[in-house]
Amino acid sequence: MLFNSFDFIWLFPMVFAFYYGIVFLVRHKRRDRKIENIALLCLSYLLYIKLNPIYVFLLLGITWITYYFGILVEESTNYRKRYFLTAGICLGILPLIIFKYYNFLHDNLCSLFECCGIKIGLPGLNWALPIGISFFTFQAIGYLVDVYYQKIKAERNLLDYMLFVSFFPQIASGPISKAKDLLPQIKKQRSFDYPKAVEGLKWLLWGMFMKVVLADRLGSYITSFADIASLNGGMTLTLSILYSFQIYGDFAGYSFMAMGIGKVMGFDLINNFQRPYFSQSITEFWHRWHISLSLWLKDYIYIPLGGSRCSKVRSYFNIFVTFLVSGVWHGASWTFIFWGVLHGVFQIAEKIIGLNKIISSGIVRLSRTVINFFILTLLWIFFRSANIHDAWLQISKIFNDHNYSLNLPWQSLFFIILSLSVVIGKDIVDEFQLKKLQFFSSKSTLVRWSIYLICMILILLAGVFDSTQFIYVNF
Amino acid sequence: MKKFILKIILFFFILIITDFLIGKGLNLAYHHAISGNTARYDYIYSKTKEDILVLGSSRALDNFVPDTIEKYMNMSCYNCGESASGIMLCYPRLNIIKERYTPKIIIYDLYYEDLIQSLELRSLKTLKPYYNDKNVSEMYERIDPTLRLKMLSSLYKYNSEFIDYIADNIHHTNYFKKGQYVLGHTVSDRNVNVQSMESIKVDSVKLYYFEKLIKENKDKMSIYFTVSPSYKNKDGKLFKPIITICHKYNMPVFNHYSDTTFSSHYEYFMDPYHLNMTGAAKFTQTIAKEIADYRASVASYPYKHK
Repeated sequence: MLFNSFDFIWLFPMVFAFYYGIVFLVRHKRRDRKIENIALLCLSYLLYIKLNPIYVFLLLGITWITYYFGILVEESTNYRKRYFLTAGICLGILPLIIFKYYNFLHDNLCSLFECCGIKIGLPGLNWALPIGISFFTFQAIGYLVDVYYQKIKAERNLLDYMLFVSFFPQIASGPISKAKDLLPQIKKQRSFDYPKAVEGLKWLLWGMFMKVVLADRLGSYITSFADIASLNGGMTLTLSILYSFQIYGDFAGYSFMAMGIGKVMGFDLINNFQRPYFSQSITEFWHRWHISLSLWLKDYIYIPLGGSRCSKVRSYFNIFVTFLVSGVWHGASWTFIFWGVLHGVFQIAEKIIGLNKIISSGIVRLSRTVINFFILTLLWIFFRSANIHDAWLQISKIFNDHNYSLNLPWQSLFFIILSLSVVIGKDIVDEFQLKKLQFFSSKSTLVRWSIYLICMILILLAGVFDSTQFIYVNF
Repeated sequence: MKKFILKIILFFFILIITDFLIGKGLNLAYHHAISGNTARYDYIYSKTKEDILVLGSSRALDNFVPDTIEKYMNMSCYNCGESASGIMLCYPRLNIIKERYTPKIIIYDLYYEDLIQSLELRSLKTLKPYYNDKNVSEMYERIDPTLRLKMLSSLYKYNSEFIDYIADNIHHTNYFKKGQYVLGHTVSDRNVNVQSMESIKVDSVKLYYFEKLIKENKDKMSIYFTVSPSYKNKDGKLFKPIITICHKYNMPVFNHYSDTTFSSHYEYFMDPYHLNMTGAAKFTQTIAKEIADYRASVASYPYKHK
């Protein structure tokens, strides 16, 4: 279920009631939490079927492949271990390659061959991308690699493993959980945890605010400017900045909702976002943005390549490849690849200068944060453009077109300022730990409930409710 | 768990009360607006009593000057045109108006919004305060069945619009005169890009409501369909499905879409689809005279037009 859809309002209470009803009914059989996990597994698969009926077989296929190959890897020795690992990864990642990258590879190969005068007649694929495939594939592959490196034991309980891969709060858009974090929670006995559930609802509320009030509202303004080529430098820059916040609100909003739902169900999922636009460098940005993907890339691409425990040149190469993979993961398009590569290049530059190790404060910190945000905004232009040429056009317009007049109706400005000031304000409070202003965790019940009420009122009055897709659900 | 559920119930109870109270306040703001769109909508739905009403999209809103129509037709006139709207707004809008009185004449300016497939929930915004009217709810629940539940919330009803309601209670604006939008300007680029509409998809639901509007009103009032001019655009044949319906019921259509008196003159337009004040004055004069002459000829020869 999409968390900002109308269905969520009635579906989630039913899911909650069903799950905790089962927990209550089997409370006397507490040693066997199988029934609770089966209930969660059924819910996860039913919700996935609701999103993508036919692709549930894909989910099952990837789950079973990685499960059985995990056992094979653990029970094998020597070269067989690596053989089964490679086979498991290749088979597990094959659906992702086919669904996400076939058309991209096909189009580029065709162009390449046509340059050489050869016409190849392979058919294109017109299949919709299964929701969450990038996320659950990476989650399953990560498990397999962890078994290989003996970081965890191979899971022998198929049902528990199936739940690990398909757990409904995170399947659509992450976070990408590690087996060592989620599997123990699946295996342990759980009961209703009041403080955790309350915290979960807070995250759910805040995530909903970021999604429907910030991200979708900004999205509606950005898409209203269909002809970007006709905009002046000021409007291009403004829309780019708004997009930076739109994607933050969209992805962080979803992640917080997923985390919140996980907590209500008794699970702790990784917090994927830690106020990324406060980072002072691109390196730091990736410690705060989509943290679960950063960790995955570090553990399964960067470190196996050698990480930083090698020559400087080799470590730069490792960073480059890691972020090339990041770009490829984000989408089957040269713009995503270029975006990923640029992030890698900036991090290499920071490493060379030594900027990634310098933590500033005061006015220097502010300057670095602003400059870093500006660089990130320029990089996001590649992320959202249809092609690299369009992206360069926009960037050159920002620098060369000195017409900075804005063409936004005052009502749009009002909503933009409202949503941005609330989100930036909360992020400032959390970043600098201004405890007196952390209203969500105030000791006063009146203050907390007032904030919850204000958030709900703003969601209803200023939110956009056409269940617009989360940007990252397309991955 | 009990404490958790009780607190959730209590929170939603407080939310419902807050929703109701703020909704009442916004409703009051809506009906007491002093200018702007809010006052205009309130006037259209609750207060208008003019003999002639102009309906249609933003082209109706910009292109028809009520004073000129009044001069040629000797009847009072109000412009009820609405941006980005077509039959899906005009049909319920007219029905809400008819609950108070029946206008003598409707001048309906046709445009693609009356027949193309497009997202119609955006035109709902002006009707949200009247959602309880069955003319409105029936129509929009066809588009989104969940609206019935969403509209239980007053806050949702005033979603996005509340800021206009508040602003229109505070400051005075002069955007409208008898409903017409009067801030038009001259297009500055005679080579302005004209978009082709050749690949539009016709919406059968819209055609259904268009025909329904004719059938329900043709015996109660005079309806005159117009197509106001467009700059350099030659896609007039795309109106054929709705013009066919008009002719089926012997409804006159005054089609000036590619009228070269206007369509070749950029100085009459503020963009390819909307006339500026000069163009609107000239066009309204033309169309009002045409309709007045038509009415006179029908009065003299009633059987000629059957």
